[in-house]
Amino acid sequence: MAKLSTIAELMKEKQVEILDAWLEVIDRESGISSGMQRTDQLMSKEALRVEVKSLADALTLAFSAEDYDNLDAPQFEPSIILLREISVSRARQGFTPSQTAMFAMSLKSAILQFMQQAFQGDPIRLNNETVKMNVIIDRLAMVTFEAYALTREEVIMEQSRSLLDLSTPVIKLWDGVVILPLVGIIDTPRSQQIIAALLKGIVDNQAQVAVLDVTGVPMMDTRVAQHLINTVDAARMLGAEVVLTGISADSAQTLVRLNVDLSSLRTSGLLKNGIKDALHIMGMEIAPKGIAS
Amino acid sequence: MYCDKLSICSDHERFSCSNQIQTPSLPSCLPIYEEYHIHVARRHVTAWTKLLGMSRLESHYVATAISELANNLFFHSQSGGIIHFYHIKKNGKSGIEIIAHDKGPGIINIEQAMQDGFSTNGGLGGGLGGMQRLMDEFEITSEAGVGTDIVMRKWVT
Repeated sequence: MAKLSTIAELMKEKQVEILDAWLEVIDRESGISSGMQRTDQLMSKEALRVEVKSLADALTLAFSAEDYDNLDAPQFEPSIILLREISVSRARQGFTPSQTAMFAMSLKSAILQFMQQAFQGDPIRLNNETVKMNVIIDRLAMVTFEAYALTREEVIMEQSRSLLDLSTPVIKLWDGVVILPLVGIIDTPRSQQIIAALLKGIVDNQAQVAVLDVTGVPMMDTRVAQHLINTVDAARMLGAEVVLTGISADSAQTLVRLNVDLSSLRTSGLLKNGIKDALHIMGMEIAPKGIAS
Repeated sequence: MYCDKLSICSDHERFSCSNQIQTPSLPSCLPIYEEYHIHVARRHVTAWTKLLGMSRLESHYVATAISELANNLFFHSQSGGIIHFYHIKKNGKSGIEIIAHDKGPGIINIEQAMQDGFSTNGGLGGGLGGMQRLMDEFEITSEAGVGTDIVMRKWVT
């Protein structure tokens, strides 16, 4: 065997062995913490091997960098791109953060034995190359983690957007009457979405009355009140009357202390009374069978 | 860093909420710089008022006051602000003290800002005055270009 002088050369020379050792570490590590799904359940052995192979190639280039303190060096570019891609797909496939970070970190223990062999009898070189390997892999692991966190954030954003869609159903109650039950907090994006959903519901159903029920809104402050007033104003522009229902006794007392004036709105305590009001506006009423007036 | 001890003087005993009551999960201060932090603060203070034994209505008042407070920090101060929570005692009474601090634009005319219906950003106004009416004690100091400090307290009845 030719005398090896750097870790990059070692990666080239012993690639097959190092890959096998790396895959073995990944396999072992992923089974350690219970409750975690094993890597082999989340992706196939072949796919993993292809990923590890291309990462090993990229890392060989990275290890050849002289200035390894600087992640901007061109030698790091392929590794960084690849690791970001891997992190993004890991995050979406449901890997845990430690599994994702472990993927790059596990190369350390895999390669160490080969380094010890290759640089036997040259402790200074072994030390220098080990330090270099550690620094590079640690930095790349951070890239992995950042990309993972970013992707998770995107997933969370997407989920909250879908939640917004779920939480504002406009339901047709009767001909010309729609109801919009609000559940949860009303912040700026939510309030815009409520207005959009209500207006669309009014147009689609040719509604003359909309019942806006806030039973599920935990708290009414001046901002929430402002959002509701805006919503009612927008509906009125389309010629629909809005009945606001479900303000709790606590909220009513609080709104009085806040000096919020809701007298311009038609309000009703219980949803039941609100529905009665809405039907009344439409010239209808609910009566026992047989004695309808 | 943002949980530094406060130098505001008072005639009551002040305890860090997290020391006084066994609730390691409730921090004694919260940063407010995203809109959802407003709701975090509201849930946080509700957990405190429940522990202190406030009635449902009192809890609701405090929760609404903190919501107004956090709204101000988020919507009026570019860099947001910090809310501190303290468990306080005086003459055998127990209560909660909420101290907000920001490095926002400050309020030029506090008297005007306290009036209902006054708003600089198209809101309903009434937030500051409302906070005062919802809490038992309310103090505000502000300097234009420097920031605003608000101290408010609610005693358990």
